[in-house]
Amino acid sequence: MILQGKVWKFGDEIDTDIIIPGRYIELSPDEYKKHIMEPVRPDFFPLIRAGDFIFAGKGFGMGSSRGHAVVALQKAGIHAIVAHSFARIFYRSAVNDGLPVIECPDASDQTDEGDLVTIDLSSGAIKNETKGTKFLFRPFPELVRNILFAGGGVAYFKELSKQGRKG
Amino acid sequence: MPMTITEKILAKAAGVDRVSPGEIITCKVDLICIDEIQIAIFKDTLDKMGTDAVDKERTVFVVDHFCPPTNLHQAEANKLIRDFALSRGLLFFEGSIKDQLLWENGLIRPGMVLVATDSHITTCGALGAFAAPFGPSEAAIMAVQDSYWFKVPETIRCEITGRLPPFVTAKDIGLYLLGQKGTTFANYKAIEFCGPAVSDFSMDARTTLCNMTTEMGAKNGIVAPDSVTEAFLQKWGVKEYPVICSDSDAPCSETIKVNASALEPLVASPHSPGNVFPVMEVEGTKIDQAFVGSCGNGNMDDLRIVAQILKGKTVHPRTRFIITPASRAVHLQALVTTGALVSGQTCSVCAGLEAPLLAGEVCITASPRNFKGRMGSPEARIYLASPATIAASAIKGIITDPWEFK
Repeated sequence: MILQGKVWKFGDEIDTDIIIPGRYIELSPDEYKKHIMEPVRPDFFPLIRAGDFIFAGKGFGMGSSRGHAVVALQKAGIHAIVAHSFARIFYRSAVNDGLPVIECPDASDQTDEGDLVTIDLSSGAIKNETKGTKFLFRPFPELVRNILFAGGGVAYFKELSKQGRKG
Repeated sequence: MPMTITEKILAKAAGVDRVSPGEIITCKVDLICIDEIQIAIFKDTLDKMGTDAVDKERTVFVVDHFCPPTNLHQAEANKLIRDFALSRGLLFFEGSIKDQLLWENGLIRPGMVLVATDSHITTCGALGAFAAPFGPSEAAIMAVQDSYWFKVPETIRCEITGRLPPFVTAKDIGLYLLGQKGTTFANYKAIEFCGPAVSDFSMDARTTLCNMTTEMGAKNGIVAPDSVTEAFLQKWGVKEYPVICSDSDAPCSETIKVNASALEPLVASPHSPGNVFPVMEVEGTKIDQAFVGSCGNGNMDDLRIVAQILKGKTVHPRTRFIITPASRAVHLQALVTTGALVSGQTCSVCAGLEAPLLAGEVCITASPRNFKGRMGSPEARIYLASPATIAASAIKGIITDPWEFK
C-alpha cells in the first residue's frame, strides 16, 4: 500500500482539543472538519489537498477520546500521520477508521513543510522525494496491519466473521 | 510467572492463564459505556457494519456533556442517544458524569473489563477494575462482538507512603507526578497505585488519582481492591467478586515512590497539565473564573473541602466560582452555601461548553486539562489545582495557597 502527498508540520502535544475544539463537535462532520487545528493554525482547512500528510512531534492526539478528531482529519483530506509518538486512544481510533498512523521520529524531524513524501505501508518506508532521503519505520503488528489494509475495523471484522461462518 | 493486577484481569478476560506486556490478546468486555458526544460516530459505525444488535447486558448509554442542551445541535445529539437506548431497552442515564455515575451506582466490580468512549473512564480503575478509554468506532464493534483485541500494557507501579498534609489532596499527587514525569511517560501503560497512603484513601480520592493517569498518557489507572473497596461495595449488596491483586514480584516497567507527607499544594500552569509549580510561585495571579467539578474532582470529598474553606467567607466579587457536582447523588448530598454558582452535573465547563473563557481571562480549575483553548478562547489561561487551592483562590480573587486558611 503506497501513499504520496505533501507534508504539513506540527509540533509536540497536538491534543484533540487542538485537532477539533469541543465547541464544534456537535456539528456535522462536513462542518466541523473546517475547524481542524484552529487553535494553533486558524484557516488550515482550505490549504489542505486530499492526500496530504501531517508530520508531528510527541503525543499526537492526546486528550479526549472524541472520535471526531480522526473523522475531521480524514474528512479534511489527510491520508496519513507521521509523528514521534501517538496518544493511545487516538492511535487505536485511527487504525480502526483506516487512517495510517506511523511512529517515525527521524522522518518527522528531517522533513519540512511542503516536502513531497511517499509512504510505503507494506515495507515500512518513508521517502522524502523533495530531499531525496529515506526513513524506515517499525512494521505494524500483524493485526494492526490487517485492519489498516482492510480499510478499517468494520471491514476487517466483517470479513473475519464471514470466514468464521464459512469455517 | 508473577503478574500485575492489570495483566491478571486481562488474562482472565481472555480465558488464558497468563499474558505478558506487549502481547495482543482477545478479551471479553464486561461493560461498554457510550455518551451523547460519541453516539453519532458509534451509530454510523453500526450502520456500516449493517447491524444494530448491541448487547443489552453489556452496554450503558449516558448523556453527560450537553446536559441540559444549550442549542439545537446538542438537543439532537441527546435525542439520538436517548431514542437509540430507550427504543432497544438499553440502560440509559442522564445528568451525571459517567466516570462517577458508574462506580457510584455499584455498576463497577473489581476484576471487570470496562471501556467507555471517554478518556477519563480510567477513573473507575479505583474499584480494582480494568477501565480503559476507546474511540466510538471501536466501542461500536465491541458492543456487537463477543470479544475484542487488546494489547497488554506494561505496568508502572506508583507507591505512595506518608500522609497528605492538610489541604493537600489526591489532585496534588496527580499534579506532582505530571510535574515530575510529564504528560507522555505512561503512554500505552498501566499505572497501579499502591502503598500505605493509598490504603488510607477514600474511594473519592482513589478515583481522582486514577482519573489523572489519563493526562500521563496511561491506558488505565488501577488500585487493587481492599477493605475500603469492600466497604463501598457492601453498600450495594455486592459481596462476591474476584479479589485480584498484583503479585509482589510482578515485573513492572518502572516503580515511582512518592512521599505524600512531603507534598505541597501545586498548580499546572497554562497550557499543559505537566507544567507544574508550587502554588506559591504563581500566587497573586488574578482570576476571573474558578471551577470545581468534572469527572476528576466533582465528588463529595472535593465539595467537603471547598465547604470547609469557604465556611463563613464569601467569593471575591471579581471571580465567578462554579461548582459542578459530578453526579446527581453528589449534587443531592452537597448543600453548598458558599456563593458559588452550582451548575448541572456535566462535563460542560471543563470542555468549554458552558461558561466559556474570553481572551485574556484566567481560570483556575480542578478539572483534568488546561490545554490551549479548551475552555473557550485560545488566549485564555487555565491553571489546574486542587479543590482546596481553588476555594482559597476564589475567596481572594487571585491564586492563593490554601495553607493561608489552615
